[in-house]
Amino acid sequence: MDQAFEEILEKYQAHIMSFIYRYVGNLSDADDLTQEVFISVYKNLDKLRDKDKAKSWIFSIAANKSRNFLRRKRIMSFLSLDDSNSREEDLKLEDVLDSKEESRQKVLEREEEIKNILSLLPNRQKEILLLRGEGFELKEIAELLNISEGAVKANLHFARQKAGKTAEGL
Amino acid sequence: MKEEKKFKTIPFDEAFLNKQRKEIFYKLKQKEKIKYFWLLPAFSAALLFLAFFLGKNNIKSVKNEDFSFYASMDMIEDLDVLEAADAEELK
Repeated sequence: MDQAFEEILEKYQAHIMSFIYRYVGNLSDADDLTQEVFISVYKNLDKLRDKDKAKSWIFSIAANKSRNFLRRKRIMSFLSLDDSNSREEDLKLEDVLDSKEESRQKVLEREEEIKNILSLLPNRQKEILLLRGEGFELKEIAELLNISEGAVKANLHFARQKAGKTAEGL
Repeated sequence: MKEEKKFKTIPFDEAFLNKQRKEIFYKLKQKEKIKYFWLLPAFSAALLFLAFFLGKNNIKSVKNEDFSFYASMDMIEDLDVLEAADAEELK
């Protein structure tokens, strides 16, 4: 396996897993999607010319895969072909948290709160808020999602409004 | 931002991440194997072509044989005609 790929995997694996888990709201799906993202990264690594843009590139793959997954899931549930809503999760967050983490309960509470906030947002606002949470600048988010900076600002504004109100109520 | 400060990376267990890494490497190896699977149908197609080519040649040779057979029959017929002509002359 390529050294460059292994470095990328080690560096971004947890970040991508976190991002996708919060996006799709299910750990088993997030696990599968994270694997798919890194398989895509490996297959297209030669297309990445600017190493400084590796983070943006990987997150754009993760955002696209998560968005497509949710779209597919919505269609499948509309057609009643997918019973994953009623299916119990194979993986539980509490089972995969770092055992050395002292505040595990706090992490679980935080994630539950984030899940509740994000569940109220449309996909676009959700991904913008999550990418902002990962430390991306507005311009970077616009490039990454292939939308205008104005659209990013507007979506972020609405997302904050909704998330803020919900957070107060929690 | 209040909500953004909450978006810290989830502290996943290293064993879980290791397991996921192993699965990724395994899937990549599987995909590498699958990459060469096209060789199988290509090889089969080459064999089929070869079989067809050889078969066609065989058919040609059979046709030639048939033709030689008919040619020899013609010769016999010609001989019959000659014999008949000779007999006529002898009369």
